Amino acid sequence: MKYKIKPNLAFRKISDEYYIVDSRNSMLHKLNSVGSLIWEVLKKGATVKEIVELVYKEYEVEIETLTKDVEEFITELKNKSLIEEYE
Amino acid sequence: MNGSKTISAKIVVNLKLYEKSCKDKYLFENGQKSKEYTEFIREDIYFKYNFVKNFAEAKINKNVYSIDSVLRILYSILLAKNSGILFHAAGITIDNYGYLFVGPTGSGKSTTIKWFRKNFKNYKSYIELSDELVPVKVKGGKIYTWQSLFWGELKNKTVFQQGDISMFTLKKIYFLSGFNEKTQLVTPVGIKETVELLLKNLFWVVNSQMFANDILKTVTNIAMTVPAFKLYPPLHNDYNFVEILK
Repeated sequence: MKYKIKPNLAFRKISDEYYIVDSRNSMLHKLNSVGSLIWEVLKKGATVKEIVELVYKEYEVEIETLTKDVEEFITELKNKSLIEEYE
Repeated sequence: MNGSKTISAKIVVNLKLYEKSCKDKYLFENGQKSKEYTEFIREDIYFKYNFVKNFAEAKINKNVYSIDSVLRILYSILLAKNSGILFHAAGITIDNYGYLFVGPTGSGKSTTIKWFRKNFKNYKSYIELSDELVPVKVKGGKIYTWQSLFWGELKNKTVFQQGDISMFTLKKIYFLSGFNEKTQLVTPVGIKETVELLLKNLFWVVNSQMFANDILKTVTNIAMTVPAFKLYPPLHNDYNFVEILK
């Protein structure tokens, strides 16, 4: 399962953090630096496995914990309707 | 690998920017949904803006408040199309530089203008820009402000600029931050927090991705160019304090 950013969002990176404006519900979201790294990958689309591999390269943390974190983050982005599944 | 190290991807801010006021209408072209226009409907107002034709129409009750509301919406759209934004702010100029005092209703915008009026009305090139909504625009890498059409409680007591409207370089932004016991009345604000505070205080009723992109870009440009501070009233009644503000 691949995920990508929904097309109806405006976002901008300021230093290492992404600000996302969702014009559908007038919400502003800000991601922390790890979330922003993942957002960068989601621009092109990626699976959870691909995201985990990328974050692991940067941070080298326990793979199991990292996978759980990434899954939780993806769920949160889905719940807020900021990303969508494809393929 | 450090097994004890933990990192966590998070959404650290979830903030409602403005109440959704306009209702978007869509057309279907080749089976695809495409936005055509946005509507603003209130008891006394019907306002419609067509994104494709860049055309606005309105039906308004014959009273100054309704006309003022429609002009605010239309002005904010036209401004957004030209790298500009209306902010909930009071604004003044001193020595031909603009200063903004940004904050929501009740934060002290009119009080700030009254204070400047009392202490500064004879000061060189002192002009009041507004006590409610101030326009700001990015042009050629610089940030400009000018006198607003839109005023709050001071609207009947304001001397408007004569002739052409002058544009002033925006020198500093102050966020009105409520009364505080801190001895330091002015504290600097970083770029990220400035972006958040500006987004929280923009006048905007249209929900459109196209404009959201423009607005985010404009706000970021402003935050990266103009120094911003938090200002804790009460303001001091002396010229030294004004020198600090400048």
